[in-house]
Amino acid sequence: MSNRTVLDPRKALGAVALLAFALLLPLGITDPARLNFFILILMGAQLGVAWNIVGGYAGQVSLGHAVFYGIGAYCSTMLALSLGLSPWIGMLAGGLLAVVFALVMGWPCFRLKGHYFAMATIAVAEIVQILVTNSEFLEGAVGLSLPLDRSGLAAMVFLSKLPYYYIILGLLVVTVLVAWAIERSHIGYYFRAIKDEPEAARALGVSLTRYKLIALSVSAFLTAVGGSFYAQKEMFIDPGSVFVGAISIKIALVAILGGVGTLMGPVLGAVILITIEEYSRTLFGSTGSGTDMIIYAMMIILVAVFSPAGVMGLLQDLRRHLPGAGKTSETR
Amino acid sequence: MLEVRNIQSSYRRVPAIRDVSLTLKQGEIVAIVGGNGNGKSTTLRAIAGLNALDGGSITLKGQNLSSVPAHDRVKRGLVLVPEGRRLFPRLTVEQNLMLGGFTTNDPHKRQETMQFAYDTFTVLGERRKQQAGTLSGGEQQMLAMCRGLMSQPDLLMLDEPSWGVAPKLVTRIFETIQQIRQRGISILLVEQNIHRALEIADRGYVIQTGRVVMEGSGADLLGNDEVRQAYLGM
Repeated sequence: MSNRTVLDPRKALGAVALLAFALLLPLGITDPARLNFFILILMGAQLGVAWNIVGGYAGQVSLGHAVFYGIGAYCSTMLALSLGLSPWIGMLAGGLLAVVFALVMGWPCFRLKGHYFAMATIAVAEIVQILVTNSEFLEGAVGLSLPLDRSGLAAMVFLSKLPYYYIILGLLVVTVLVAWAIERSHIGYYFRAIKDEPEAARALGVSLTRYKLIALSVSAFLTAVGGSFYAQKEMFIDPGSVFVGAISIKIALVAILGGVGTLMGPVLGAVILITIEEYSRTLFGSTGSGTDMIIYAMMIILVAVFSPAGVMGLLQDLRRHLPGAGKTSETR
Repeated sequence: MLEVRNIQSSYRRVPAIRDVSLTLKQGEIVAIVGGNGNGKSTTLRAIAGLNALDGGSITLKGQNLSSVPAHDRVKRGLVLVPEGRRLFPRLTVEQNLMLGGFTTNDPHKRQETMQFAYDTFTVLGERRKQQAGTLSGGEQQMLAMCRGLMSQPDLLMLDEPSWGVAPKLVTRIFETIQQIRQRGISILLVEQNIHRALEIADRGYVIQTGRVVMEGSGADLLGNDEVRQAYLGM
């Protein structure tokens, strides 16, 4: 295990610097809309890193992650509304419920491979969206609102945007740490083996189904946590805002754009994607509703044609071509 | 140690092996030879659990493997080095080796086997940080064999180890197979290179259209007129 313990000091320094920058960033921002923009980036990044665990490392592309997102949002909100439970607990409950759902849906879906698996995840997410829309228990298409009267840390409701910023930053850090731990453990090796050569992985003693289910479960848990956070931040959810296909696509695209199977790629992808999305929204206003979808589509095409390894892949190519960077190509 | 009795297996109901029986004793090298499409690889894959059986039984060290899934068979002590090597091309040499070793819990043995790999094939040691996909065909085969060894198997199954390997290295690979046997590991070998395979094998089986049609010691089969005519063109 000789290469497990070695921590590149330059990378560690970079991570600390990045975190310090993120922690200090709100000090320079007074405009809540601007701060909200950064919150959106962190939310996108957290979801992208979570998706990357199953879609990137293990190579099982899910286009139905909205289902986990929605489960997280609805679970914490329902628990808060009906039992008065703190969303911090609701968040964990939502995560666990998403894991259970991931196991139930993964069992049949993982019998399919590649595109067929992706199509199955779309179908499952659509079915759940329709079920929730028609469920009286969950208030159907009307959606659920959180009351404003209980604010504070325990209720995870704040009048200012600032606490939300730090909560989602914390969630992102935890999510990145989980991905990092997986990347370095034997589970991460198994994921990459399953992605590259499933047959050989099986011949070496890797249970494909078990490790695919592990990847999906971890990813589902973290995605659901992101969903709970969204519910707390917006204080209103309906099937159209948390269960729709556009969310699934966005989650996947953040990771694909940034670089699948890389630790920080999805973070980079979120910065780029959310920036474009928000600027196009202010630029075109309501006349341009749907422009973000056009931009998503364009980005998918551009990434597929020019850099299947995402922006991280571009950066690595760049570094390789710079003089004096001869030996950087060994890690991915 | 390994006992295969009357196994049958098929691809989408097209039978690939109809009736194969073979035995392998501790420390033996056994070769399965025969032409293309006669069921050699399928036999190995069935023993590894990658192909389902339609009938017959497989016993390893007295334990019936029928209900043991492929990934658990590795823990029982057999490992297959698949045809075409199937390395993880974008992982490094060292990472490929480690992937083979996670099924054993003994880090000391893992280290020892990795050292054996690097000692036997110094190129692998020199290139341990290099992506496996950048190795030559022969080096890749060496890596694939060593990756298989990392699980500390009692039985190593090699499917066409000379495939896509430069002739000079083929000799090297067959030498290594004998070296591996000296470590107490039994070897079941499938080869198109019949001459080479029977030379190092203690015993061999000839498979034709999914059936074992002949068996005997390696030397006997090499000297057999039918074998010589059918496969060696002599």
